[in-house]
Amino acid sequence: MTVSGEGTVDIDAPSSPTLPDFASLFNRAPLGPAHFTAGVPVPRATMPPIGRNFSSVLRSRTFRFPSGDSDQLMAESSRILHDHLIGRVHPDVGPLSTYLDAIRFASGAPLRSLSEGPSQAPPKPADVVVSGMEKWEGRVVEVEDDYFTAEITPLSSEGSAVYADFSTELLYPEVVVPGDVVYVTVRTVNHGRGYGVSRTSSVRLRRLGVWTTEEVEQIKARGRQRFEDVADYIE
Amino acid sequence: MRTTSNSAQTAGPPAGDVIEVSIFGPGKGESILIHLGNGDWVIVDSCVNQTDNTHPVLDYLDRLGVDVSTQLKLVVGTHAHDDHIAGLSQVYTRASSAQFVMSAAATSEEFFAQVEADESIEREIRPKIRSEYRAILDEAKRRGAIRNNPRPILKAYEQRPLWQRSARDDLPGVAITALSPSDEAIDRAQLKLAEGTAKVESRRRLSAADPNEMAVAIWVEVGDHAILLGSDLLNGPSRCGWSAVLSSITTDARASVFKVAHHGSPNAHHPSVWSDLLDPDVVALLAPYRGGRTPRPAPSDISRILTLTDNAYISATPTKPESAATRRVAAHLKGLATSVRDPWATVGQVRARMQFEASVWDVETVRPARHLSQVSR
Repeated sequence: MTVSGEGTVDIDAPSSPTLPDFASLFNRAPLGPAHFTAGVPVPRATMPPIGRNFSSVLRSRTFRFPSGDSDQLMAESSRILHDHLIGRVHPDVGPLSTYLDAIRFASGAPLRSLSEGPSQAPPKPADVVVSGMEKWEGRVVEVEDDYFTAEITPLSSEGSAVYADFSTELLYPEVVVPGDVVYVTVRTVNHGRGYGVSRTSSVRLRRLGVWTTEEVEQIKARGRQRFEDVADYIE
Repeated sequence: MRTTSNSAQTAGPPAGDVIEVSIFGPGKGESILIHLGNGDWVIVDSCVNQTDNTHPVLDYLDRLGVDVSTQLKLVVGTHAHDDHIAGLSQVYTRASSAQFVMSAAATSEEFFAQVEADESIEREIRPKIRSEYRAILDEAKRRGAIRNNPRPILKAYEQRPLWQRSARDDLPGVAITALSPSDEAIDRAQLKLAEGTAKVESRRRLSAADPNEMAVAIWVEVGDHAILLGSDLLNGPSRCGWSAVLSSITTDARASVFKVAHHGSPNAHHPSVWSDLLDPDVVALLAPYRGGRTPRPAPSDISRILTLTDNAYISATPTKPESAATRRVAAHLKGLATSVRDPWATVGQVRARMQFEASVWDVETVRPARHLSQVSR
């Protein structure tokens, strides 16, 4: 789908040039669905507080959208936001506060120059502390149409493995299959006195790359060797 | 049938003329132990106590005073699922005079390549599911290199005799026979193993679990008594599973003990197994599987089994209250994950014993094992 023109786009207006559903597109971001409050600058190392649902914020706005292929734009903006959330900073842009910022950056549009309402006053960065971070790693053991089951083992603390079910949408557009390796992260953020504590969580596939020709050949050779090693001992 | 509770842990070893069949299971995992009389033992599959990483079957044998190194005759890994092989290398290593039985579908380049592929990934992550097989194969290789040792690995396939003991005046004969996998199942399993192993340009991941059709079901005859161990064997597909077993089995005997296949799942329930291979009063033994979204046996499975026999026992309950630690994890993952559960817990034991000349099994349970009717539905 191509987004046309430079005009103002009302996301809810059915007759306007159609934009993708932002909420579902956001679910396609590599970190999975989290909720962000638009317009709140966030220190680079922390996640924004959970606030209003991102899509509802978007739907309350009218904003300009540049030309371009929307799927490509979304993919690129997802990548940029993901990079920021994991601390990989693009030199051309400061801390990104919203997914919308990432879209703008990806599209080449100037940041913070569109017809948005005034931003909320940010909390003092010094007050925002990541007070907890827990991680699990595990393997997918079962996949059904709408959920998958993973056996996850804590990485950041002592504790035993547990089984848990996750929506397959959380990893969209990846198609999860048994044997995939997943990371689960839960981050607790203390926003300072009066701002409370929030928790964000995500599940994502561990990026193990793809099998190369050389690796596959080596695996087959080692399998063959192991078979030959014990073949004489099998009755 | 006489049933008592909570004595199996402290009782002494079975007399030489007593058959014993025990099933151990912590909620995810199972192990079956059989005394064939005369101090000869067999272990089929393995599980560990996750809370302290101890091995319940080896611990039990140690408590009975059994010399594991000489008295264990076979160690069987029916298939390579982690609820059947946890701790199996430890068993095999200690059972230094036993042969290791594995599915013919697993004694193949395809299976070993899958083990290699998984191990290349497991080096980078915490979960380890293939280390058991590497340890077993290393141990087999070590034993095989010793002159005059019997071949350390036995390939199991349909109607393959695995172990025999000749009858004497005071001792009945024993015949242990593999009932599966069939030729068709071996072909299918090897194809699936090859398809499921690393492919160029595909995402690196662990292999999907090997197919259940390669599982080894076992028939044990001790004198006039027969025991059927169902592993995780499913009904099909065509010319595989229980349908293949039913068409190939030749014995007229009926088993008086049945290790129910695949934790009581409906996809492993074949009515003809019950009508053609089992005694009407068969003692059915189960281990639950709490790992799946639907714990097994489900209430409908329990009802079905109890209509087939009054003598059904389970090593632990299919569901349990979650621990405080698991509830804490669930709270952390709220909104992201559902049904956070710890499938493991205390290992229960069901033990059935009978003298050669008797016709009734004495069944004892060690909590949380219980009669299947005592599982809340």
